[in-house]
Amino acid sequence: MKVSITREKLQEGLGAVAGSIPTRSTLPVLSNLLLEAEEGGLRMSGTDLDTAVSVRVAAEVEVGGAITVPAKKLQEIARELPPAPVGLSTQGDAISITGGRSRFRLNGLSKDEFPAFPSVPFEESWTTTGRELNQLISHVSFAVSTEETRPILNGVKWELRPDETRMVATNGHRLAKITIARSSGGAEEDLIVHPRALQQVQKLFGGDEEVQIARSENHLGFRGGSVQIFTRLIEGPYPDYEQVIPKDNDKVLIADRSGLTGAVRRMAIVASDQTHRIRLSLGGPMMKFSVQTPDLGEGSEELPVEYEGEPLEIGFNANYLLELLRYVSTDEVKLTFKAPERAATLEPLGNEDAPDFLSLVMPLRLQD
Amino acid sequence: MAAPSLGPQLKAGPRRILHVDVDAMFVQCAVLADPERLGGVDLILVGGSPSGRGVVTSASYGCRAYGVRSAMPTATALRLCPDATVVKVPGEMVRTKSRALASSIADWSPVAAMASVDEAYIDLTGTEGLHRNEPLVETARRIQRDLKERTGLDVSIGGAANRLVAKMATSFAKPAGVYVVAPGEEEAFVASLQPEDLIGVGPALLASLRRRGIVDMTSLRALDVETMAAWWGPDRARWLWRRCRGIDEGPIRGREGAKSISSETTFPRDVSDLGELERLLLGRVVSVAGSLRRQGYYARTITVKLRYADFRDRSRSRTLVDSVQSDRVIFSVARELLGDLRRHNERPVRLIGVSLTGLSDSPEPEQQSLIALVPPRENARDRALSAAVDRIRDKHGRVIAPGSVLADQRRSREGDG
Repeated sequence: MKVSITREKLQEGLGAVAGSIPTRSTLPVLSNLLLEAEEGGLRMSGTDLDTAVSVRVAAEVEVGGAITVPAKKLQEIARELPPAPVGLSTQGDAISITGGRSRFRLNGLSKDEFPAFPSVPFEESWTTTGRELNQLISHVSFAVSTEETRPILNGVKWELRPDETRMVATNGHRLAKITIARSSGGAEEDLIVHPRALQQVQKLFGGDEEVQIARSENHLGFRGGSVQIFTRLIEGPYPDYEQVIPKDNDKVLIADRSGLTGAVRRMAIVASDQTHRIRLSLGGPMMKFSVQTPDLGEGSEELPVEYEGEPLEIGFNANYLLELLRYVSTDEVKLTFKAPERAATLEPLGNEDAPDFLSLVMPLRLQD
Repeated sequence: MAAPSLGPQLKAGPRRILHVDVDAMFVQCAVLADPERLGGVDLILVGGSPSGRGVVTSASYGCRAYGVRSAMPTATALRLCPDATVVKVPGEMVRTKSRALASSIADWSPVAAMASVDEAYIDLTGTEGLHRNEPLVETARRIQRDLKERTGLDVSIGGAANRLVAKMATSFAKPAGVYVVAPGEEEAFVASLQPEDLIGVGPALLASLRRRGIVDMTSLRALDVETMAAWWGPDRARWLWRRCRGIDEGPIRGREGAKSISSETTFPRDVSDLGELERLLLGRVVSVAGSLRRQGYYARTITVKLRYADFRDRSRSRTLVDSVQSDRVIFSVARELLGDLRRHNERPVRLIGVSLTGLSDSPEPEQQSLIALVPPRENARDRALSAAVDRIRDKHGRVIAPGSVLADQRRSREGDG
């Protein structure tokens, strides 16, 4: 392999792939990235076995070939090189890197040791845009569970229907769900995707760029521009989340989003470090917030709201509320409640263009 | 457990608190369990094995004279005191005597509670009339004689107007004595001690004191609370400021605020086999889960610790969505954690331990869950079964346990004899 590439293009490619390289791995080759010189460009790929990212950048290829090299070292070298064309050439399982007056030689591993990418049938793909994917992912991926005991909840549920697409995530304490119209039709699918892969999708696809998506039995592939992402699907079934979305919440509160967010954030300061418990007192035109934390102190605040229903005292983890409020883009939010031990819902209000986003959060037991 | 105070203060004026501490409880229990072999023996080490593995749980006063301390590797203790007799922890006898002690002290005051397996507090405030207004030290001596008669145990008793000073006074009473700090003398008593004598001042805080040039009680007591707060934060500062003045207004309660419950065991020989480790793990789980339930707690976090043959410790823990207390559920999580640890390291193991943290006195988690999505791990049947097992153990001792655990107990008894 013998390639000449600009420093910028090299950094661009490395930056795109870096996120898929595991920081610690029992398999040495996974700390490496795969470089493949092909007609008119250099392809760089990395994988942690669950998710693989591959990106192609422009380069002048004199001699084709492939090798794997330590990703972190190559990235550090690329960062420090002077702004001049970079030469890459292989001798056996080593690569030499030249730029300006600097020369490096890194020991690599044969391309044959690098895990093969899963094959997904892109000829049967459906298409969407980077913007759509970003909107879906950003609204739900924060809500996945990080507990290892229920691996299924570590993933995002993705439902594709003929005219709409929906993502759902939950950790059993709170749940986020977003539904948007599909810009172009396509297959009906039910997928459970690891949020790490979706993070890469968010990072590498944007704007109106067209993204092709295809699945095989166990994998999902994304392809757009010069980037490909593959991820192993989490095996289902995902629990029936519809049954936990409350239908009979009879207490409705409408509040200014930024006013509500500010009040919760202030109360959170004096909430317990362990539970982040705050108390909401509902009933009448003023909503009352209060916090009492033994050994720390207390706080209270009031916010004018519209409220319909019987008075209610209910506790929440302030962080859960703040997380959900962050993904509401409208000026007003609607919350509904039933009882102190039942799920509350939170959704945007007012703007027709806002995505159909619904979140729910389970309360915290109040101490008295 | 947020146990309520066991009684109101009956009247103003100095409180009369006794701290009762059994002298070398495990050694005394070992002798009571096997008087023929150990009666009259002066040098006894409890814990570990004669081959020198494990650590000392308790050493007789005779051994202590040779520099032996608890938690010291048994091998080291035997180098210091080669003539000592090493005996197994007399678990059954310790539990029996601890229960006897609890019921005996309860007869002396309605406000009395065990603070651990071998120590207790008795609040005699308001009972002066019952004891013909005799001095506290006299009542303490009568309690000491009563406990010896009813339990066979020698105890030391410290007395003062609060728990903290009473407990510190006990170390002046040991062994088998009584030491009472007169009302109003608490501060002078504490001032005569060293910072390391203060209960709750451990090696880390002591080192932090030394770094700042505070080497004795005089220099510690000269600090104002603001200076302390700048060094250790406001909570720690208030606590230490009061502590070094002997101030403590806390009521007498049971084992309040336990933060963790744990159990570990050193094997007679290193173990590599996963099946055998799982069996030994089950024994630890049965032990910690039993203590957890006896104290009325539920736990959310389960930790498994392994000590490898090279004395390196590795542990894994998991926090559950819900709080649990049954053997079955705790073992199922602990077993997964053990599997995880072994996947990363298959070297021989010399010690296994289980600890439970995130304790609460209610099975209801504070954070409610969408139970349709995350069904609770522990069901009513698990809890009922655990409760039934506990009732049998309370009545008949540890006659009921998973088969493999009983087999281990039997083997270790036979090995002992």
